[in-house]
Amino acid sequence: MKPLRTEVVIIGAGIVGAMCAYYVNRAGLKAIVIDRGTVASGTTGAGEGNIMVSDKSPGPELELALKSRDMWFEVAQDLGNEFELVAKGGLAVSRGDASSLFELSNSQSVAGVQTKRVGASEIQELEPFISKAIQNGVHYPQDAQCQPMLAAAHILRQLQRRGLEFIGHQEVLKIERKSENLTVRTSTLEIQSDFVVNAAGTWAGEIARLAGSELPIMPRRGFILVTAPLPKYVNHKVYDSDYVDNVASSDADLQTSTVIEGTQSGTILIGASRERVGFDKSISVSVIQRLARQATSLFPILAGAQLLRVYNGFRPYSPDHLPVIGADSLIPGLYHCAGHEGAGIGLSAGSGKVIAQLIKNEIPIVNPEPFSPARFQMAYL
Amino acid sequence: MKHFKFDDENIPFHDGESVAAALLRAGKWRFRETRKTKEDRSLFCGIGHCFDCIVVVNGEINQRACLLEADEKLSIRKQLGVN
Ligand SMILES: Cc1cc2nc3c(=O)[nH]c(=O)nc-3n(C[C@H](O)[C@H](O)[C@H](O)COP(=O)(O)OP(=O)(O)OC[C@H]3O[C@@H](n4cnc5c(N)ncnc54)[C@H](O)[C@@H]3O)c2cc1C
Ligand code: FES
Repeated sequence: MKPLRTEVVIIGAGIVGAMCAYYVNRAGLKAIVIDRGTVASGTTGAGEGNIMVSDKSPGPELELALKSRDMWFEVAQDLGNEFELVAKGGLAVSRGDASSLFELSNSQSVAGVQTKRVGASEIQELEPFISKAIQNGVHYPQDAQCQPMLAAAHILRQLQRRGLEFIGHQEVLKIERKSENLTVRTSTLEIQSDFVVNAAGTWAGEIARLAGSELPIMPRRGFILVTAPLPKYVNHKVYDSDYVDNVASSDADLQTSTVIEGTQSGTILIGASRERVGFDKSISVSVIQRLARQATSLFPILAGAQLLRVYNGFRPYSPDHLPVIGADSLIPGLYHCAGHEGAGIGLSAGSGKVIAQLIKNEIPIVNPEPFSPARFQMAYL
Repeated sequence: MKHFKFDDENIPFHDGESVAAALLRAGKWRFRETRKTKEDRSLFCGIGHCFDCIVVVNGEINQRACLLEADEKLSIRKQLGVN
């Protein structure tokens, strides 16, 4: 078969691959997105859709998150908001001593996040069904939400009208560098390109190895409980402030903290658990019980709710909790955009933009240094 | 025969029968209306998976008629959206 030829091949049709495709296309480059499954068949189809600035401490990730959040709204403006994007706001609550929550929110507001401390009566106003025991919280109006599967599908569908090519059900088996070209091979296809973007999420380490490089991306499992459609009991993304510590932790053992939000289809999503158990898809009743117990103690009205289903997904986890965005140190033309862990939906727009800017040799919207793959590849040079 | 209430009507049932079966036998196939487009819904999977058959039971929404054993103490209403 005659090889296909393009300028950029993007491996992975999750939200990160879709956003890379969007900005690469905007930059005027010809691109092909390829996935071994369908759109959003990886972690993008197995999580939630929060676009959060509130759960990040000041630093490079927060800087990217703030930019990325605004860019989500630009993408929706350009392509049409067919993916339930809404700035519903977040509410972090503290059940005990609130000093660490307030310390965090003070530092965040210095870094440009809009924050507002709220006491019992304001909390009841924001969330009429929340437990009366909650005395302290911080309201984050910038936190937003979308439906990530719809987003990835809509972005890729619209881009196909702008010249992008999408190829599903083709697994990348080989990536070779020959003279000035990279060749991506599947069992039936050969695609030649100038650049390859590895947007394979939790599987990005395998893609790096196929190309002769290395990237330490690992799975961190999370469960979500989905209720049957309910009246609007939950207005914001509401979470326990210990969530922020769990996100930043490197512990392999199970951690859970309450994260609750409604969706436009009426279901309420309950998370969040984090554990490193490899790619184990099995359902853990004890995790589900723990999540349900924590959720009903925050929103007692959920105690009688029926669960429609429970699912799990594998966050793409990098050892220092920062995504890997930038050029591979070993293989010219290969770029990585992966390892966004539990924030890949929120960070996807900014990350895709940075990739397009690096490929075009432009100055990126954020300092790309902290995200560089080089931090994990020194030993291999 | 024993009965339970469905929207002010008495629905007869056999011991051990599900609410869904008793309703269908009585010709009551409209169990609920969807939230947005207000379309009728009834039994679909019959085994508790799809949540298409949900009704309001003694004031509680989202109860699956296909899994619920009929009982004289039940007062059931057609579920309208999430009400
Ligand atoms: C329970 C849970 C809740 C979450 N909640 C949130 C949230 O609220 N907000 C948020 O921002 N993030 C959240 N996340 C994290 C978020 O889902 C991920 O960070 C994000 O989806 C990663 O997107 P991705 O495009 O990098 O990866 P993926 O969506 O996994 O896409 C990678 C794609 O690469 C493809 N692929 C892999 N190998 C190959 C190959 N060899 N050849 C071809 N294709 C290949 C896969 O098929 C897949 O489609 C959550 C995650 C979980 C598990
Ligand atoms: S008919 Fe499917 S859950 Fe009852």
